[in-house]
Amino acid sequence: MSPEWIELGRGLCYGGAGLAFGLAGAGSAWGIAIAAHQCAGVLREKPELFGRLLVMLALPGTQGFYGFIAAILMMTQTGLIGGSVIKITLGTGLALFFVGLGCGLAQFISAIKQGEASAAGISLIARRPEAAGRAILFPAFVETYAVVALLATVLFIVFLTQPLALGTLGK
Amino acid sequence: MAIELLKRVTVVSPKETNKRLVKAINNLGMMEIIDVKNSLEEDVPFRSYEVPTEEEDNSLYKIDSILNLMNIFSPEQEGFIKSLTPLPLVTSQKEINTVLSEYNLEDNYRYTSELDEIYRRSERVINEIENEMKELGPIADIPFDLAEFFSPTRVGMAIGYVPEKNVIQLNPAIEPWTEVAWEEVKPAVFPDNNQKYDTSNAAEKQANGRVRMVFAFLKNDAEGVRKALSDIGFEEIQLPKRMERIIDRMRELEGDLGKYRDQVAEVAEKVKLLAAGQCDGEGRRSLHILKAYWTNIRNRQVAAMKGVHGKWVYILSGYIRSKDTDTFIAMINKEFPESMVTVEDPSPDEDLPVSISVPYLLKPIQLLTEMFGLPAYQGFDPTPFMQLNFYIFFGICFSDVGYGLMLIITGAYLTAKTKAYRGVNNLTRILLYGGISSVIFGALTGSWFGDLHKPEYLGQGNILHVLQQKCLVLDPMDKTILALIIALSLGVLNQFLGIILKMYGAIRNRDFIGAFSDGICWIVTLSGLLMIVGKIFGDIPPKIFNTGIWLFVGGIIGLILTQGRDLKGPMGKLAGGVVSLYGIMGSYGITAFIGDTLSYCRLLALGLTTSIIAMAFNLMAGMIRDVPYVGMVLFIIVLLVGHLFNFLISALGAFVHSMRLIFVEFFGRFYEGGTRPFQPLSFDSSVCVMKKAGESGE
Repeated sequence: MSPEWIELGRGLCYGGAGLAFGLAGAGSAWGIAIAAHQCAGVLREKPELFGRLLVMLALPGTQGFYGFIAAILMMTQTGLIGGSVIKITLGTGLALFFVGLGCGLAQFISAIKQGEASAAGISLIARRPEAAGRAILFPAFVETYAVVALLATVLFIVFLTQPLALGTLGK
Repeated sequence: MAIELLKRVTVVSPKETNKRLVKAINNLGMMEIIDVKNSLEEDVPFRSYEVPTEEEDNSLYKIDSILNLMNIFSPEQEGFIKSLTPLPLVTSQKEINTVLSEYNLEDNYRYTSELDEIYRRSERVINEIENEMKELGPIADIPFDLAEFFSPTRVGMAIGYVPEKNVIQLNPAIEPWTEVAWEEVKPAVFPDNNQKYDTSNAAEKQANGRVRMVFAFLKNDAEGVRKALSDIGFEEIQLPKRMERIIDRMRELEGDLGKYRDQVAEVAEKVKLLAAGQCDGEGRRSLHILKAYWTNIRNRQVAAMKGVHGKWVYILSGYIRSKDTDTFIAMINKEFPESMVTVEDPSPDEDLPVSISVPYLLKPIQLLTEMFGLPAYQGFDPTPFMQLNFYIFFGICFSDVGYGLMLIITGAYLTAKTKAYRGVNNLTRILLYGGISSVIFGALTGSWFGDLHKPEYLGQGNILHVLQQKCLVLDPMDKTILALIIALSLGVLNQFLGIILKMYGAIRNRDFIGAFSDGICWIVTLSGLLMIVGKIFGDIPPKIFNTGIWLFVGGIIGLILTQGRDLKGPMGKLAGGVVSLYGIMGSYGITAFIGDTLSYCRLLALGLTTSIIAMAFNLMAGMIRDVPYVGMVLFIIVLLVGHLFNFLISALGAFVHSMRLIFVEFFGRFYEGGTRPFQPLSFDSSVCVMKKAGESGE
């Protein structure tokens, strides 16, 4: 797709995609850093827990993927990558911009909060390594809302760009 | 392929054989010894067996002291692999005997204690010197000798900062300044100093419109003068009670500092030599082997204390694997013919350890089960049920034929090299099998070092391009939505497998209501939900949609009626059922299932990331290939470095996120680990293992 296709509506849509993956990625990095600080403290005393803490450390990384998926969907559904190029009106572009922004914000905040929840779980594992299974549950609950945001984002993108788009899969 | 059956074994032997008995059990390495006292009635005439452990504790203390000093100056490197799984030393009885005869623990302990004493004393002095230098630094540029400041008997002096605007108030004609002398103290310039000392504090104050001044007054007038000084905003500098120039003291301290640092460096050098081992049997390895030896003896003593004795007999009890029973009894009968062994099934209320046994091919994934926590003895081992899904997830996340081949080569090499280390060997085999999976999924998705197969990189008709075209089934860059749906479908299947395993666990425990409620009801509800969601997104036949509605409604009714079964009162049961639909009461709930399923979109994201980063490096390499003379060399260098970086980062991401999908989304459905592992009394530990006679490695 050549650059002259980028009309205002489309530009807004890709701006939204940028916010979605940018905020989500930033939030994930921040969340992992929070968990990593806690991990480093625990590993100084109990290096044998590294394996169990690795997953706790990776938990806040999910939101980055969710933002990435939202951005990729915006690109594919509008024809920037593969698929057929569709017209994006100014109204649709604006809607998609705010969908991307909403998704990005939800991912950004939930990733940071999940990092804090992971840090709490890491403290629990440090004291009671056998509770690793239960400690994973706390941050997983926080992630529920990142998932809800992604779900809403996917629905918005699909139906704003191509109603019943999935019905034409592979055609 | 399951949790191994354990037997409760009790050995009754003559009292005088106790030490020999524990030693024989230790050599056999089959029995976990438990405290007999806990299982005896209170009024039985048996007493605890007391064994002194001073000698062992003393030796271990000395070994730890030497190792701690070595770790200060020559720390042991702990790699990523060692963090995931124990990487024990492999030793032999012969090596242990050599170390015992050749390593002089007493002399080495005395020597390292002396070094430690020198090191700690030097560190303490260095600390004191550094603190004093930190205090003196800001006033190092004071030009006068402190003896002149402190020696006068009738005259008092004060040095400090006065705001520049207030200097004008210092009028020799006005009280109390008539009896006071003052002058500005300019910073001294020492030719050999080169601004070495931190006088930033002084410079900063000067810059902030403050002047450094010294005041002299009769000690009798001190009170009045100090009040007047305070009124003009005088900020006093507390000088150290010394009788020389501060700069001279600083130089003296510097000399001392160098001397003590040299002492520390000398200690470091000697300790490094000690850690490396000046001669065979002298290094860190010998210490680790000694530590394992003394720890084993101490464990033996502690195990012996778990037994009890009467006037004539000694009783020892514990667990052995069912399969080892015959060997164990044969050993006891042979070595202690006058002893008696009873073997029985453990009672259900006993806190039993767990030992898992899986076939060789499935063993690598056992590492993940151990990492998460072992199952309960009455439960089942999840290892066989996460073989296929883990490798599929890993393969999709890392989907690239080139990287997969690199991983196969690395994994195969490391597997061959680490046969003696069971834990690490499992990890390397995970890499090997993961590499095979990556090759398969890489071929299906058309990623060969990203898009290196393209004609613009390797020319028209190159073999990679031909293979890529032949194997390609779905390009996720081209059909992203379809790839996303496949990733989510895998998630759905994995969730359903988790629910089926939950049912399996419930049926094993004869909890048929639980199997129906937590298994069938959820499967029916979620199947219905999937059909309804299918209608929202695409064209599915109305018949299927209607079936979905019926299933969903039926399942929900079943859940509402059964999920609150543990609560009291009909209203409580009903409310519990309704709440459980959302997913507050545990890891089950409609939102939890939707969330966990969507979490599998990371499979697509990671797979795409691997390919896209590889493509970016190919593009960069392609751009510089046309540089005259060195273009081709740069092209190859960028490809090598870029792909190696991507290989390492993507492999780590694929491993961690596949592990996460198993631990969080899959285990959350049915599994709760946390049981202690079965640990028979033996020399082997996570630190050191004994090479068995005739052992080839595996």
